[in-house]
Amino acid sequence: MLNRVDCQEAVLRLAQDYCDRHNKSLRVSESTDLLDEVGLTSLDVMELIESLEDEFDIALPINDLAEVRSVGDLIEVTMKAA
Amino acid sequence: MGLFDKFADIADLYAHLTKDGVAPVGTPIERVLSPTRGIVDGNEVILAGTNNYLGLTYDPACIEAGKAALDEEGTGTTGSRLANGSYQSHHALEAELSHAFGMRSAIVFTTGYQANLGVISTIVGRGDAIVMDADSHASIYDGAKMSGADVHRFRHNDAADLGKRVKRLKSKVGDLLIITEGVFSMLGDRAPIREIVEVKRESGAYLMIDEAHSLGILGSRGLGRAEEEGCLQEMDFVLGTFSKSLGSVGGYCVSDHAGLDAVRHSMRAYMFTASSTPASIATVRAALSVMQARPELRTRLRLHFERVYAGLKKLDFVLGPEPGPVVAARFEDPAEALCAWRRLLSAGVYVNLVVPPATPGQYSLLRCSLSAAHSDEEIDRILAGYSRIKS
Repeated sequence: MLNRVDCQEAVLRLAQDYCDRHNKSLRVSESTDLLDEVGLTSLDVMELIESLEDEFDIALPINDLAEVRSVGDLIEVTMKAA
Repeated sequence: MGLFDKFADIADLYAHLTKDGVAPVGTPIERVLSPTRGIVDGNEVILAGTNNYLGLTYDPACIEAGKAALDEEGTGTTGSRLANGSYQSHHALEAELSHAFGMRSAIVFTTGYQANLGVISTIVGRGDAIVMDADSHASIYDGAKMSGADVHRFRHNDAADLGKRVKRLKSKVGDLLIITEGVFSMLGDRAPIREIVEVKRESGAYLMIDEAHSLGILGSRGLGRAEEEGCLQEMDFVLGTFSKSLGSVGGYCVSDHAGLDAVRHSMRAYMFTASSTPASIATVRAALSVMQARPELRTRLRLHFERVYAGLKKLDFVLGPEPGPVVAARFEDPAEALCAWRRLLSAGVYVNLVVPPATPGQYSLLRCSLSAAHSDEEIDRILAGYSRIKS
């Protein structure tokens, strides 16, 4: 069973990795906007979701993307799927 | 915020792409001279970005059939298939497709986009799940979104990744639909369909393949990737378009499930649109006959695309993983791709420029599609045009 702390740690890490890879000097938190602040495209968010699926061995439909704006939103939809 | 403000970025991009000359997106083709020649920006060019794989747009039999249908049945049906728009010729084409594929049911649609949209959005719904290749065409994404089913993607052409994702789902969903394409439109690579069939067998899922870029090209009878790999009868649904190899417009779905026929009465993309014009149907029927009667067209196309793939590889272009009817050269920088596109056009060769997000992996592509109608001399000139980019 996935707990929220592990989920939060993974989502923050993956979002931070993206920022670091793209040379964005941003410290990611739950309130960080994945699209406007981190600069993710909808394709990037789908790939992020697939990484989370593999990390936690869960199935997370991309239909839930519409609900995802911030890091916190992504944590919530991941918890819901788990 | 104004209604059109959200389009400002795309308008700026388009303005940037067109500031130094003819538009690389929506390029005006001033005149078409033949399946492989046209006038762009006042100059005659070789058309190498038209998906006219068998070169049938000017086939005499197809043109004759279209003209006869215009004379005999008029310009349009003025109604949907479920109202007054099902002519004898629409039914005849469905019977011919059904016979060609050896499957019980066939449905003809007004466009290929509508075939995917209609079938996918209707046959699965809430409580079901779709697992589709990540590089699927927009019509597959749109159909999946409209279906109400849970939508999952698997890594492009990775059957092991598909298997993993299907396994996670199987106990949690109703019906499961796997979707892939025979040949992918951007890089011209082929689905590992035998491995995908294994996943289907193990999971009890339904399997759909879109053969838009493989009909007429792959398989001993030109039926596509599934036929090429000897697993056509494992496909639950085969979809495709008439607008590429068959040189017309429209789409189809064939299936050995007898239940498909009833689905026509529930598909909004089929019910609430005008049916194909009689001339379109007539040209498709003629082209289908030509496709089956002239396998040498497929052989010629294959020689062309293998030659272009090898030639561009030798010139150090970064290409897709294997030769196919589409040969795409990748560029990291969209500006560099645009510059290359203009150089190619000035050398008398028209291809497609495709920029993110329409491309996989955020690359920009010079997407060349070959035709059996290209002459050997035209292939020489296409290769010479690409070598100018590198000089």
